[in-house]
Amino acid sequence: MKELIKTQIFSTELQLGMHVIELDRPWLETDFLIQGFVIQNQEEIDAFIRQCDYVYIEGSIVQISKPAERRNERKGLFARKSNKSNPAEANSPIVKKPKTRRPPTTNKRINYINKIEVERELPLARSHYQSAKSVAKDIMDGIRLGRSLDLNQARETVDNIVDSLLRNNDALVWLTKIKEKDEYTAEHSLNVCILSITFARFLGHDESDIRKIGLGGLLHDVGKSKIPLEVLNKTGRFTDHEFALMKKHPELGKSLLMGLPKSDLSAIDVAYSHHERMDGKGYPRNLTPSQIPYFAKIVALTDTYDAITSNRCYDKGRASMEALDIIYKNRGTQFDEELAIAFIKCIGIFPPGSIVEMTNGEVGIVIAANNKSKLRPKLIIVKDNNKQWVHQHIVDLHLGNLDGSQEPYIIAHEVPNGTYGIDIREFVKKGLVLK
Amino acid sequence: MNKIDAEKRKLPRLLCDDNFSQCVVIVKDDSIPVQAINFHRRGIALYTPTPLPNVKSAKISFIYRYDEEEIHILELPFRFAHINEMDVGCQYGACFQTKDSQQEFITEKLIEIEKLLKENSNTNDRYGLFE
Repeated sequence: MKELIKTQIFSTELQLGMHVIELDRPWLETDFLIQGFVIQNQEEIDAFIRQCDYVYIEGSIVQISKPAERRNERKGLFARKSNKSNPAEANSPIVKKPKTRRPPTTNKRINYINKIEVERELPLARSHYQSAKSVAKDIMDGIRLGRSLDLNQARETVDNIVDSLLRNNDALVWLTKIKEKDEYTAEHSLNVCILSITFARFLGHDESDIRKIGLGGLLHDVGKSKIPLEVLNKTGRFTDHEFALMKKHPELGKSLLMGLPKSDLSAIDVAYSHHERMDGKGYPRNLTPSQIPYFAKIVALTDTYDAITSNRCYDKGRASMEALDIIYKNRGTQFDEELAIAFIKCIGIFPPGSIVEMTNGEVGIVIAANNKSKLRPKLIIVKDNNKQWVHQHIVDLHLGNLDGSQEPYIIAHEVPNGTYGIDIREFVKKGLVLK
Repeated sequence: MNKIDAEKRKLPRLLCDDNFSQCVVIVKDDSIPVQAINFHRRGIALYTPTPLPNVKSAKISFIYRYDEEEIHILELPFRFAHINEMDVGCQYGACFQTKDSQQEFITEKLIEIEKLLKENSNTNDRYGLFE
């Protein structure tokens, strides 16, 4: 009989044949079904690395096969043999599941640049935004009237948005700032689509993924078309029953999309899982982090950001900072931590379309983010320190432009649209032309 | 904009740091855990995954830790200044009602928390991600 010697090693040092007897956390918190076993294959090593920093092994290594046989097993694994045809893997103590997707790594991420200025893209973006909004509205209204969702039309809309955002990523984001309180559901779907594409572009995904994420964003709330309008547009607070009804929209959305002849799997994933949480307390399925589809994690962030900053029939939208505060405070519990941090970096503290008050009391509108320095965007000054309209002029904080007192302009804080009589809709209508 | 609104706007909303703990809203006999989002001496922004009971006012308790000490705010009455219950989560703006409070020194405690938060926060880079 062997004497048990317990040795602590890093998960990355594990080898085939090692007998793992204890983890750095309770076995119940992991995917392993058996509490202690001899490592049979590389997948089991990968599962330990994914879930534990270090483990405890029994002092001696059990030789499970000759090196040549191990090489054959690996060949078999990489040949993607199914579990059923490989009894050893079928009996593996870990639950097989697809690897969780992450944002592209540095060497794989695509760095996009703006091809034209925001002022030039804005007229085209405005036209795309209007037609996309009517498509989003048609989708929701059509389903209510019993029509089938036209997925090709939805894809075409997403393609136009992607093309605009690839030319310049500020123009359409500007338009998401204009919130009509009576058209929340359609406008929200479109805004989530735009923000998801912007975020996917920022993360460096390829165009194919960006289009999939955009479609997921556009259709994420499609299940709400099955919720009665009196609940959806209620001006007062929800009753428990109404809130429970609202929470059914992910399942309703999944059923709707699955019923289409040529459905899109990633859009189904997003519609079904965008309210799942990293702490497992989301709905409808209480999924764990590794079970939540990656695209749904992205849309969970853009959905929350737009929901908080949008006008409703009962209230004005909140400033961008309030939405980012909630996302920051809930990183790792509601939202994927890495993605939440990346999203805040993507949006920046002062996104395009934000109204900002300067430390000298003047007020401006952010027209473009500076990708190298998100704290120092480019803006138009529209009001003086007495909050009177002024001859508008552009200030680029990154260039350290000075005010009338020869002091550098510094942003004090963001204020919601409508503050000091400033309505950004008026500026968009004029196409960001200075007056 | 009236004078009180203008004054409130001048108070920056400071991001609640990890020193906030045990934040609960008390409605009748129920203590409901909530998340403290941002704060100034006049009020606090709260967030919960599910809606709070439908009442116009309630009480709030929380602890703010600093160095080896703790500031306890216990059962401070507040009114809801803002309610936004969404499918993504529920957001509440709580306006402290210090005049109704029996604790005369409560305002000093709130100002002290604001001061400590301000000392620990970076006004330019709120989340410490850009500089």
